[in-house]
Amino acid sequence: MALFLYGTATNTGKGFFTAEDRRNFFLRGYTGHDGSNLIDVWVVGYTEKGAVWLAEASGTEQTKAEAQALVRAADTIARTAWDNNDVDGESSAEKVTRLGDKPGFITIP
Amino acid sequence: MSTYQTLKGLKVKFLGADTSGDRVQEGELFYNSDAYKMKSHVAVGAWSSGSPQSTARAGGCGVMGTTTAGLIAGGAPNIVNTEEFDGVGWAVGGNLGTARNTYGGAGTQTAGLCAGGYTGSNTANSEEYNGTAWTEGNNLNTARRAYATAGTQTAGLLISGYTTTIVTSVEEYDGTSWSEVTDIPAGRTSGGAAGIQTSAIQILGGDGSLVTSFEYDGTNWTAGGELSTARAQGGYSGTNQNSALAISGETAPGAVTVNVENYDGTSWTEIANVTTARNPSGNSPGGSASSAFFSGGAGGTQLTEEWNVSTSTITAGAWSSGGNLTVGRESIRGGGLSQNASWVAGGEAPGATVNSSEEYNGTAWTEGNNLNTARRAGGTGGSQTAALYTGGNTAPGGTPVTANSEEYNGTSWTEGNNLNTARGEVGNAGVQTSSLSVGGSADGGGSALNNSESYNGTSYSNETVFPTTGYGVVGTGTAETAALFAAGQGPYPGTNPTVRTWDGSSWTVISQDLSGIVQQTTRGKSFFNSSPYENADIIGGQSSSTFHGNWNGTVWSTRASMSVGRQASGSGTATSGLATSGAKSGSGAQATEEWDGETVVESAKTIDFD
Repeated sequence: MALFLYGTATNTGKGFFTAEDRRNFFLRGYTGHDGSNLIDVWVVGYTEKGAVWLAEASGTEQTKAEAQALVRAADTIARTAWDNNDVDGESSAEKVTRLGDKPGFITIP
Repeated sequence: MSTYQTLKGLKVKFLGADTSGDRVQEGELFYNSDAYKMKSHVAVGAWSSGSPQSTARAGGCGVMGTTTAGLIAGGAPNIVNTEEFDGVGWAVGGNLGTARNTYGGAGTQTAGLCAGGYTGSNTANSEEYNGTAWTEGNNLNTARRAYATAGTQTAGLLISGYTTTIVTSVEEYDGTSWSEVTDIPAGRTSGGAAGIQTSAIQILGGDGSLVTSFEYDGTNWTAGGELSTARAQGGYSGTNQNSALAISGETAPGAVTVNVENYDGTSWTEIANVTTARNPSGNSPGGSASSAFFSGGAGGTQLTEEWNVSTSTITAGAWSSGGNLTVGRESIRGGGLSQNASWVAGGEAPGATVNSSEEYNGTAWTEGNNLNTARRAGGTGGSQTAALYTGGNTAPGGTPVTANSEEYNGTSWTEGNNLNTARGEVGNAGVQTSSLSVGGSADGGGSALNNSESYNGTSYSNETVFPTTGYGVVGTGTAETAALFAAGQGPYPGTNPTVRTWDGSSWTVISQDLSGIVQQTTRGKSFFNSSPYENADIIGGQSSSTFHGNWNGTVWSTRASMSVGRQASGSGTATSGLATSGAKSGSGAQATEEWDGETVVESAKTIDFD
């Protein structure tokens, strides 16, 4: 049996997920990109309560590969933006100090 | 009609309220005259979610100790580090001498034992833990992995397992050496055990098809009860052969169960399920059937669940989604002494710094008046009606920096006197009229500062410099007498600053950093408000970190992770906190999360005689 469900759903703010939800099932959110817009990608514990939460959040279920592709697309955009954000005469060390480390690729569980 | 006194020879207490605190006695009957009810405190078993391990480790790791003093060591892939559990979170333990996986542990957090396992091949190596460090012990007679363990550091038991085949041999440890004892009737791998050397139970294993448990009295093995659900690679806990738990595990290759069963010496009974089924996972052989922890597992999960049979209702600390910010942004800063009265200001939206400020009432954010100077990554502190924002970067990234300082009165921001040294990514502790600003970066380049300045509500004064240079350091506590600074980053390529405390005139360096419980850079983090600082929660970080940890004055330990990784602004307290925004774009730039800490409530049950 799979451990997780995968889906997209827009975080609508207060009440989108509750503390009880967090106690009842695993939940982790990632930034994805669907080719047009940034999108919230959720990894949800594969339980009845987790599945109900994703449905009630008007979520769209994804396969793990689809969810990972969405997250990788957002990561790629962030990494490209980091690469292109240069200041004349700036060393690599100075760039890291200014921007932080170059974003990595996130592997969802 | 018989009375309770006639039946039991006892009078029933006539009380105005439920018994509480030290007066609670499980099973005692009393009359609550306020509720007009006969009541009693009844112990009920329940699982609650706990803090995650800091290192993802598949099972086969050695787990030992109890729910309030547990230890987990090694695991797959070949992991050398260990973590200690205090009942709330996980802290760094001493490293194993030999990294290993697929093995079991025995003993306690301060007297642990691990032996055998897999290092690329089976090993017979044995090590003992004293609460700080591991030292080599004498080797097993038979190198093996995937066995079951029970007992203590001076009276350990290692059962069955796998060499190049499943073996039935059993070894006992006396604190010095291992010796062969009576074989178990049936060999099995990846099973579990609980109890002590003279009263142990071996529970299942193999491919998940075995249902028979075996009891050991120190000399002989006898068949025990059969479980309802066969499993391998689960979690196991218990004090002796008459009291044990079998928790979750694998029922067939690739299939895991949430099922948990309790053994009373005769039969196994199903009890409440765990929330998340998993395997392979470690558990607490030193725990009991009424108090156990179940942590880690395959698939990179670092989850911990705790089992308690108690008259109290334990509600685990957890994050929930809060109201979304009006203006999404990263490098946001803010404060607020409570979750329901927080504020944020400034930050970086794509392409520009912003001057927007917003206030939170526990439900929704409303726009306040703007900062006079748009900026990101300044130092902040204070309440929703008396806030301070000092320094920062006035353009996206690290340059230019500003010395500008502003105060908020609940309505508008006004210019105050400037910092003596302009800087961004400055760390602050304190409130509007008593603040301490530490470190930062003056040029956005590779340099970092060690300047320390106090603010008295009117002007800044130079103080004893921070012990090392660092930017992105974060602080909490009171500026006059007791502040705590941690995290951040030293000069490129980056160091992980240790904890520094400030007593009003000098710094003390404590040789503890965050590297043991969080694997990313420690830049981009934020504290909740903590005064005193011996219960300081720290959250988030670069690289989309969901991290949540706690400093208890001595060590760092983990807390339940946020749902979304972020470089959040933290506010509120360790029992009622708020993480605001922290992503550059997307809904994560507007999203917030609320933290509500663990609560333990005594709750007497009504006795219904109908």
